[in-house]
Amino acid sequence: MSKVASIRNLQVRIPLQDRQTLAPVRGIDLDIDVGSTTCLVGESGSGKSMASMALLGLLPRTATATADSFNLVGRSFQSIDEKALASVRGKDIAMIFQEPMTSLNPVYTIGSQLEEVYLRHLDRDRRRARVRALELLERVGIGNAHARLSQYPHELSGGLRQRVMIAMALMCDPKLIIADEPTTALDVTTQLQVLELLREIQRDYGTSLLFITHDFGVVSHIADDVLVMYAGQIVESGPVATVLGDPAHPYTRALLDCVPIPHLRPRGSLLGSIPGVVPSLIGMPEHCSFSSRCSGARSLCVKHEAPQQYLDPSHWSRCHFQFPGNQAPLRT
Amino acid sequence: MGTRMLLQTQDLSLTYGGTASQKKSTAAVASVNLDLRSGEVLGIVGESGCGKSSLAKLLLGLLAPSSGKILLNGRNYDELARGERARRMQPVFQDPYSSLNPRKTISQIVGLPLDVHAGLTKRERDIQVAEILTLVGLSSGYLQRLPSELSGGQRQRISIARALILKPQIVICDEPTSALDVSVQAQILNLLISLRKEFGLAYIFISHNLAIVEHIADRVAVMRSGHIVESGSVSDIFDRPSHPYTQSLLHAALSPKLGRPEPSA
Repeated sequence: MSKVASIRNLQVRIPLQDRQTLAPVRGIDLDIDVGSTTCLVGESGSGKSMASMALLGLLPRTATATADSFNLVGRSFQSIDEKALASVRGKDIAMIFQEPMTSLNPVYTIGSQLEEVYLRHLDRDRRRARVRALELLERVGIGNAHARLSQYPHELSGGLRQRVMIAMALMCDPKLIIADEPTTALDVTTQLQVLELLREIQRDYGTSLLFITHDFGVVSHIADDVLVMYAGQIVESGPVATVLGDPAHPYTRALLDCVPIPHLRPRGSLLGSIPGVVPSLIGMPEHCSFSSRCSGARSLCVKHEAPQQYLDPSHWSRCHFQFPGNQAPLRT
Repeated sequence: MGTRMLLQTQDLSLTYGGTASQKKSTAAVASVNLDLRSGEVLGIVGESGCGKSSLAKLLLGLLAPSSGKILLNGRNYDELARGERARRMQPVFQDPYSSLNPRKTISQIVGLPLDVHAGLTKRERDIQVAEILTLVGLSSGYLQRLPSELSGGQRQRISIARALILKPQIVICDEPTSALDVSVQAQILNLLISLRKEFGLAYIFISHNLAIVEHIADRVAVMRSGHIVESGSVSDIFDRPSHPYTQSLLHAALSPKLGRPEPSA
């Protein structure tokens, strides 16, 4: 299958004071099939937002990103920065952020914000831009689209604003949409509508989705593939049914144990928990970064970095003891 | 589990607007009848704007009702002094970043309810503060720290310590884990579950997260547009929901599908 993204060894570094360096992304490989949905899951501080910002060339000014190869939307990039990615950002790669209130400009109308994207990337004709904006507002299920064009973001509900963000992302027919927690701020019924909408759009336009979330319910609902990120690395990667159904990495298993799941965990029982905290990503060890919190850690884990090992052709994980019979005990 | 009635609301309502300039009035809480018995967890679920946080503020006495009554141990709120209510009932809020004073030390924050209500010597006070910190899983090394030095989960533990230091009967938890990662959320829920067992606490647990409420609550009330549309035991609501709104909420809630996948052909 052809890929909309194929990236090897992506690294992001941010120099700090005292000659220290923060490494929020430490050598990740990313492959996204055309027309598929890949979910990137991980806790705050795992580096998932930094990794997605690197794909957009929107890292903080002091950060530098490098990769052995960086192929995105059919092009190969030599450098990964704001300038290099400006020609594809907003056009071939669009983004949808978590908070639709803060990611829409409060002093411009919905219409002018939608049209701006079109005018910037495709063609300078305002009339055609408006036609496209109307068409997409209707496509994302916003009634009375004509009137909405002259409204301001504060006049819309959270769910409507997120639909506007989706319409905006679609203005230039992108190949890849990066959605960073797009439904976290929404109510469950609205969340379901927005997820269904994204699925329909994917089906109709063949758009690929990189979906960043920490909600495993959302992952189950929308993902084809799952990447689990911890301390700047991807620790497990595979199809959603495999990663959630038969997780290989102790971090994935521990994280799933923390989630209250009706019918699976007795009501009122204690949930699983992961001792300790996410490492600070400064001066990371040369060994397994999860070893300090892993219930199955052995001496090998604090000596060497675990290699990326395949359990089957589509499923790999980074644990020294991931193979059956070799696994750390699963909490029950 | 005890059966003594702790908290009861009778036709509790809160209306915003309706003044000369704002002709239309909105009922944030409309004729709500709830009761909470000792040692019980009452979950309140609903979507944003349904009035669940307004209800929490009414119960805490932070807002005055437009009509209706709240009874604490059978006595009307109006008859009770503020301090009396505070000793029985304490809050834990959603945002551990904005609910702790950034300029006070942990010792000052956690000890404040004692300073206001208890009248202890400094030594007695300091002992109690250190004890309660241990109870929520933090060492006394944190006493002189500031909230900014703590993680979100640690801050929420501080909020819980502050809520428990007066040994209340009731804790009102308004979305206590919504700002936290799943692993930290699990730690805080576990802490609330354990503390409840140890001290026989009763919680009013407000959340938009249905799975969490199903996990922790004994009884559940479903709120919509200020009204309680359905209430019952946790299995009534989650296994046999009768109101269409409850059914639509449960339908929209996404639950992870775990368990080994079927081997593909």
